Amino acid sequence: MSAANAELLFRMTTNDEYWVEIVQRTSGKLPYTSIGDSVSRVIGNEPWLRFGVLHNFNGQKYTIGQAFESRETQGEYLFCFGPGVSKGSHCEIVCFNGSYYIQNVKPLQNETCETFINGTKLVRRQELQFGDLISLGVQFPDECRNITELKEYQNNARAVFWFMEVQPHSEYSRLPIQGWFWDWKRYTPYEKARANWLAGQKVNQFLPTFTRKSITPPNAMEIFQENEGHYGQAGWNTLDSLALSMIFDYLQSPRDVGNCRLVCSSWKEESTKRFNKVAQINFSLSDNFPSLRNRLSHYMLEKQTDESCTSPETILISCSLCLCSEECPVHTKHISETWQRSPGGKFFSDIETYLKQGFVKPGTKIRLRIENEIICEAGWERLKNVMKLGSQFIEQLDICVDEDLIVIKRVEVPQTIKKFSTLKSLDLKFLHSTTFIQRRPNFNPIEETAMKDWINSFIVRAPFLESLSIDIQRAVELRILKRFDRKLEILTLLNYIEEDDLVFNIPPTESVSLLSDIIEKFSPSLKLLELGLPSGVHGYIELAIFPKLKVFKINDDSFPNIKFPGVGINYNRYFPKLEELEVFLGFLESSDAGFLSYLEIFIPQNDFEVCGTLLKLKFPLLEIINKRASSRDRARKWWYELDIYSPTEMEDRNILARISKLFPNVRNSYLEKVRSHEKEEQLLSTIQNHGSTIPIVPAVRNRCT
Amino acid sequence: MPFVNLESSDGDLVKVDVDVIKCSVTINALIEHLGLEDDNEVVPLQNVGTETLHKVLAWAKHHKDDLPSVDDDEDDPPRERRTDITTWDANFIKMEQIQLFDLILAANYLDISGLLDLGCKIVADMIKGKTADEIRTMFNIVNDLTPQEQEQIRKENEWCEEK
Repeated sequence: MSAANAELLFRMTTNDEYWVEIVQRTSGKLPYTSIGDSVSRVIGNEPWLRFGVLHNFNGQKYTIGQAFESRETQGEYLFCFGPGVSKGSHCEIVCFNGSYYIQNVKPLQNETCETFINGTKLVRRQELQFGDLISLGVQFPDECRNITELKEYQNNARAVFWFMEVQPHSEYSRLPIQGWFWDWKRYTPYEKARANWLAGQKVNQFLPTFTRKSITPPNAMEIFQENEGHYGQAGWNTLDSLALSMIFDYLQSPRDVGNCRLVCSSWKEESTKRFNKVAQINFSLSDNFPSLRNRLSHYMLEKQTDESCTSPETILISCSLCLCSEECPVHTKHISETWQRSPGGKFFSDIETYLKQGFVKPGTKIRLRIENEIICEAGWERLKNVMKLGSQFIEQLDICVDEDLIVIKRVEVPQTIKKFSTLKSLDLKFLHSTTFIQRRPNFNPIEETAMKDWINSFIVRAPFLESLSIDIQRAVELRILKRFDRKLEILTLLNYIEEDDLVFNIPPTESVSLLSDIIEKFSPSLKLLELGLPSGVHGYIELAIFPKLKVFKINDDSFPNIKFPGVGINYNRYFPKLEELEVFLGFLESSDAGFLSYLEIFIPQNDFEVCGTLLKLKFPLLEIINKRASSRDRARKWWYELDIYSPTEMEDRNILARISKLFPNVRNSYLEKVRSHEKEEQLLSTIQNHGSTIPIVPAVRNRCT
Repeated sequence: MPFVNLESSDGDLVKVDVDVIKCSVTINALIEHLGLEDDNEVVPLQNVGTETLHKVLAWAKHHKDDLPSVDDDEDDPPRERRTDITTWDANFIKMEQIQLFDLILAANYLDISGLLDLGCKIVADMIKGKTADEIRTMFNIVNDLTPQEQEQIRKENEWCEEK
């Protein structure tokens, strides 16, 4: 049998509700979001899902089931949440000498799990041939190789795998999981075209495995040559390479092999081969199989270099660290175990292996985003571990820590991490703004300095920090920022809890002057600034000149807390590079004076002023949506776009004219958008009137992207 | 019973039962290709000293009735070779390093996989848990790596030092 890689196609024998269930239980969300995933194909009029690619590595094991235990014992784990599949592990496929062998795994107690190969019950180990049908839990007729016959078993929903030689990605198309049947035919031509197009764009080749960076042979044998034969009474360094390689084959521990590499050049050469071998794992994250479908987008290869590249340059890892929720913060043993056995746990273990085993090549950047708040200690331990392992590679870190955890355990950035040498972007959020302590008979808030400590410890360790996003709760944190000596490009100061407004536990005047100082300090280098200001009137924060600023977002409430020095805004002077402006004014009433004041701040009366750089504008959302159609439909739509709904009191036309005059490119980009939209609508109606003929592309794009 | 004469590098002749030495792929092939005309046929082994040859033959004699090692995939695929060593082998392999080295060389040259395996296992056991310096001292190996190379290797090794 050839040593080709194999793949498993997957479908349920019955209707689509199981698909949805499988996918949702596995990933929690609908899959197929990332670009270039082509995961399904039609064979015999039936859609099959690409389930997993089985790489032909000698000794590699793949286990199918619902409970991940460990990579060491189970190899690659393929989750399959379906009826008839064991709640533990169902069966395993082992690759040996180029062939694949399948066998059952001991089922859980009071469970009977049967596996059938082409309708024959699997008793012991059996070799798989390309084209075999593996059904979990139900028997099909012997000759049942034609999948259409499976329809007879519709009442008996079972997972069926089709084992075949790995097909190129171009064979597959993307497929929306919902409306599986009726959408299928309609989408196919477009999806196919898209898949082909993507194939042409070279997006189709996901990295199947990660191999450690191949280690270069010694550059030059320099000195030390004269010693040869002088000491070597036994001449161990002259040992035949075959014998050497056999010796190294007996070494299991990477460390031992690593030490051998240091012995001498001939040893190094041989042991390096072994080293590469023990260092190789099959990293299923990059493979197309549905349980990891969604995570593929998490694990996006942002920048793909050449194909021989063994590790992507930037990896976005987005994961959850536990199953705890705010409702149930108690991290019981049971929850912990459930998490560990779930796809989330497996994903985390993949990440750990990935980081630990040295697959990350120097220069690779990792963006780590922790999805859920870290509430329990176990989650914290995991985060700590990942931070430790990846401290040299992490470029972006987004975490949200529950403050209860901080109080209970005083979690801190581990002391062992001396430096985040590549960290550029930090997003730090704490749940709960105030911690209370009970002093009879009252609860008193305690001054919690954890945030300050965290900011401090990151600032000290991340010399290249460029982007900082934190929720400011106390003045002490602002004071740290004021002393912070990095050139920030992105600064986001919001309060995570309090609806995106800062809450200062200090006199407003002080906070305002602190904020002014901070903004002034960072303004020369800033490219993005997002501010959430405290509600109420606190005095003015003076805005400075932002020579590089591209995006400016401000959340304010009721009354302007900002002002521009001098006569007022002058875009060319204050924001020479501004491309996006977003003003959010909370829940202002349209008639509020505050709204008009904001209008005056950002849209000066001066008719001659033009801001050509701005491309996107979002302006105050007013509560009352005025249904009254404005004179022209497009204009009315633009109001939508701008989030402005003309209050009756205002002369909407005037404002509109002023905005379009002030920001000509905003208007232009808006018009462009409207026109293309109209075109698509037109096309869609043509299709609906004349049946789906050829020009299906734009209509479909609307629905599935 | 057919015999074959082996001549060691020291010039000594040793008469060996073909059944015993057939574990050596090298000699087996030699016999098969050249045929055994008479008992006085001499096979010169330039790489094997007398002492080592005796050792090899002792091993071969003990193992001559062993079943040929067949990879039975009934159990686990033998990806990792079995690492157990029988008592006899363990006693047999107790020798000076220089002898062990010669033995491995001989096993390699004669292509006796069982013996080579055994030798390699022992050496691997000796290596386990030792630092590079210790290995060099133990085997008397000269370090011909430049400091830069060593630094590079250390860097590459880093990931396995953790934990």
